[in-house]
Amino acid sequence: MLRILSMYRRFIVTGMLVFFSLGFLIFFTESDALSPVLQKFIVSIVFFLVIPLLYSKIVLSESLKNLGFQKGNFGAGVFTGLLSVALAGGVVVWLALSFPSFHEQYTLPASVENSFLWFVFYELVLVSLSVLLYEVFFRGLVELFWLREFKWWSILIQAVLFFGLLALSRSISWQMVPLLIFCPLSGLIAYRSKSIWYSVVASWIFLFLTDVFFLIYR
Amino acid sequence: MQLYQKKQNRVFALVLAFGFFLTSASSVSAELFPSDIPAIPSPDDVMAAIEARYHLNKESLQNQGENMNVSSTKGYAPEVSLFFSPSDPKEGEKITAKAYPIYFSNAEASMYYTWYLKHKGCDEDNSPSAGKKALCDADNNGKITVEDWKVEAERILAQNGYDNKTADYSSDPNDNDDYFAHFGGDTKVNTPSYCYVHDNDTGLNHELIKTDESSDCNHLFPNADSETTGDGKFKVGEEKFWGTNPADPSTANNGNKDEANVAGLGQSGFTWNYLIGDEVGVAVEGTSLYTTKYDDSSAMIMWAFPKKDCKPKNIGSKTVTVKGYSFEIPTAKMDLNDCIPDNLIDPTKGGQATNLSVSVTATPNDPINDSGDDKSGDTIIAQATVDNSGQNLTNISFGWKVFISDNIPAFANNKATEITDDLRDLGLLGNTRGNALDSIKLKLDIKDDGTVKLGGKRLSDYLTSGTGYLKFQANAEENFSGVITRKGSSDVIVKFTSSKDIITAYKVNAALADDTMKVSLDTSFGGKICDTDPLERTVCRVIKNEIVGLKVNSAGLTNFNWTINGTPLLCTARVSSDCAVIANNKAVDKDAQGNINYFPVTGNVGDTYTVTLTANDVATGKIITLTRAFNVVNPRVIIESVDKSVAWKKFLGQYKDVSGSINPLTGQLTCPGGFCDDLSESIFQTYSGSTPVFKSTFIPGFLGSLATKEWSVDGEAKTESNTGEINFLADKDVSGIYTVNLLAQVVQPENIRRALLDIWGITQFESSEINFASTVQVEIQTPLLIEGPLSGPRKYYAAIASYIPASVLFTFRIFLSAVLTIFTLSFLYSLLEERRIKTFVENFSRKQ
Repeated sequence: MLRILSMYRRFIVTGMLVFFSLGFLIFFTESDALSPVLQKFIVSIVFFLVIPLLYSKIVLSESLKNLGFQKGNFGAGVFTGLLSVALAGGVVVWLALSFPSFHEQYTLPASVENSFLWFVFYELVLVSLSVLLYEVFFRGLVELFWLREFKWWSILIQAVLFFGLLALSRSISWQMVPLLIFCPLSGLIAYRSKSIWYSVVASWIFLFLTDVFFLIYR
Repeated sequence: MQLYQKKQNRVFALVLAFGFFLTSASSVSAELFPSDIPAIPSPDDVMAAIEARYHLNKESLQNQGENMNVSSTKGYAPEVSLFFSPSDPKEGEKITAKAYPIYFSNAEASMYYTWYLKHKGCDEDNSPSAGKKALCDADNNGKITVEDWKVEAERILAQNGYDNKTADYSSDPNDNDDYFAHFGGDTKVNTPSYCYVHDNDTGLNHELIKTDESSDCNHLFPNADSETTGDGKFKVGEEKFWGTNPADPSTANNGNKDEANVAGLGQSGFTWNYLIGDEVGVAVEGTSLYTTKYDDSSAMIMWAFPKKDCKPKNIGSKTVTVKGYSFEIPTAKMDLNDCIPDNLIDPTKGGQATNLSVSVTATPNDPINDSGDDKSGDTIIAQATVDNSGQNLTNISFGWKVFISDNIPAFANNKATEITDDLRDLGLLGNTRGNALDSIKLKLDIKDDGTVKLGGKRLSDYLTSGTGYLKFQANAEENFSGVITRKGSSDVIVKFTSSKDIITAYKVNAALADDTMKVSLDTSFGGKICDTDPLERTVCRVIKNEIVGLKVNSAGLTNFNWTINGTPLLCTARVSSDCAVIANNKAVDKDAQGNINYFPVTGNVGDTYTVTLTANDVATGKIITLTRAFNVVNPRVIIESVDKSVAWKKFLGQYKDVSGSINPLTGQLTCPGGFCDDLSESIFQTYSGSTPVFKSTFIPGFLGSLATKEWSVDGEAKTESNTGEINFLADKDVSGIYTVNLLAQVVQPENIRRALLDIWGITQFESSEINFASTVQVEIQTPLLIEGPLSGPRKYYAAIASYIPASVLFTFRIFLSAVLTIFTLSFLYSLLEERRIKTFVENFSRKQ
């Protein structure tokens, strides 16, 4: 038993890190002295970005390449990324045309809808940052680092974890649909390219196009 | 390989630093974020927080966008206003028209003012009669056009009174009076010229173009026969036409060359001899605030007309390409001279400035100045009225001055002394300048001693037999377009009397005389009431059924007349022996009222008695008026701590001091930082084991010696340790509470009650005792922690800790959690190492 533990210690400790990070994000107690969103923002950066990096470098003494911070397979990444964006975009368009409540409920903040400067800030800063956090944690740490041995199953498991986190932390709504649609595709891109950069760029492009589509559509 | 590893480590370190920086920097916008946000920080959440933080409302943003869409038509086109002086000119009288252009980018002195003057009957006419030609055909071309109007005006400007009968126009003396005019103003050298006309309806600016769509800029200057004004050549023929001195480069002696004067350079004023029916106007040429869309430094050159009546004609548009982009520019094909007939102003038809008609009144008549310390002088209210204002009172600026003298003629001879600032420094006069400040109040509490100086002198230096004069002068200004003003002023002279006499209030004694009770002043120590407290010297607080004695210093006064609330207050032999004389062994009334009087307080709480004494000054025969106010109050008693370091009022919080009151003793803000401590009036605090001392303060103050007092602490009676004071040992545990109670009873002495009955018919049932009480609580507090000495590095740590924002502390905490997590994982990972497990298993087996 102990030998098995020793044999799979990397898998076990990394798994503990993943669940601890998710649990901490969902259940940590907020301080009254600070805005809750800011607190969660800080916690997300620390547990989705900083800790995975520290863990890889300090605890496991592994290269960050294992987290997907590498060039990887350029051709596979670009090809799969383009294909995923096209596929996900098509699904979004189909959903928007088929379900009126989708385009009614998928709203951007008023300032973003009405001010170009705010739109630029929103897309370049806020969307980029959140995409980076998701990709580093779910595609980098969970899929490429933790579940490396699970092959294709790793895509499914990271998607389930992502769905689970969303379900536990917030209600699933049309607002979340683009993220949910692209989650497995992003996992596919990362799996095929062995890098998270292609999934970061593809996710951002997809979310950006989705926002633009709904702005024009309305 | 090693180099690569180092590089990788550096990148890694940078990423970590960036992470910490990002989380900390984001804390700067800590207040951006609202609560009730899901766990994953999505862009929408953050954006929603930003919107909430900055109150970005969708409708407001749309409104801004809508405004932006039409902002190009909301600019400020050049305008010019004309004002005339005098406003009601007589025929033949000199009248000056002054132009005030606005919304030009260049200075007034560098713009061109093309004046035009149309006499009565000089309307445009292509075939005028001989009489009309003689009067109106200034350029002698057989037609009456706007050119004649311009020539008429510009000749006056260029000549400026020069008598050209003796001028020699036979040859050009080359007097160097040429001037070249630049489009858009004198300073617009080497600047591309594009001329525009503004459409007041649409807000669009139309470029003036020729038929070939090239720019069409033309000055509106009048021209001499076959000559062009402003072309840099002022020939002798032009000198003759304009009547200027051919030997003088500046006939008008205004520093401008003759040709520049004809072009109207900087000629913002125009003076001529007015004829009935004259109409005048000006076209001001300058560079507007609008920039053109051409790819150069040009701004739109425009003309301003006094009635802004110049509608673009033959409008259209032309396509311009700049930097590869094509766009449309609105155009117009027209001669701006066509706008001149629509922009004539009759100087006598309103809109121009005249003097304001101001009058000033003051109340009351014959006010009294209190030259003593009682601050009981009258308040003079000076009120200004403007009869012919064209604007609201809020748009009229008033400036007030106060002068003082001992005689009225001094005001007319400018020998009176202005004391406005001195009065303001004394706090007797408030604001003296400001919009809508049509009245001022002067409190006549000017002390007559060496400490108070008015214009460097004592008050008495401005008085003759105690009488002086004040002049309140109001200067009113009405502003037009922020440029010109109408002014007016007026004043009122007020005679005042200065006196330091005061009606002194006394308690009274009552004694039997001839079987009836009579009263007399209690002149013993403490007999005076309302004598020390400044507030009570102004309004003396009294209680019901009290008898108040009144006295004034009779020296130099005679013919006393007392009134109370306007009705006579008589002191008779029945009231007091002070008001009686003995005749036939019998007390009878004096032949006249004296300087002593009495009244009973019969009113209810809140009532006010105003006692007025008028008397004649023996020396001057003038009437002196003294007043004293009495306010009926409920007797009250307040429990106060004697030593506020032992027992202090409970701190409830702080409030913003909106009054910004200043402590007169220190000159500093009463509440440092603008926040005042809100202290409880009924709850005190002290430490366990201390001995607080409390005292009673009565209102009115003289009740302190009259009232009987019963103190109790937690229901147990306490005797006074000193007069009006108690103390007790507060030895309850922390959070314990003591209740300190004071019952007071005031009852008039029996003699006074009988005097009320005998003299004024107030029955004893109406003059019964009055009971009142006060209660405070004393809370026992934990002694404060003893603060360690703040020296060395600790004080810096304390300061840093207190100033670190919560967001940074939170970030630090999270990072510590991260470090702990990493440490735990690292420990666990090491623990599960195969080698360690083997060792553990072996050790375990050995023990077995």
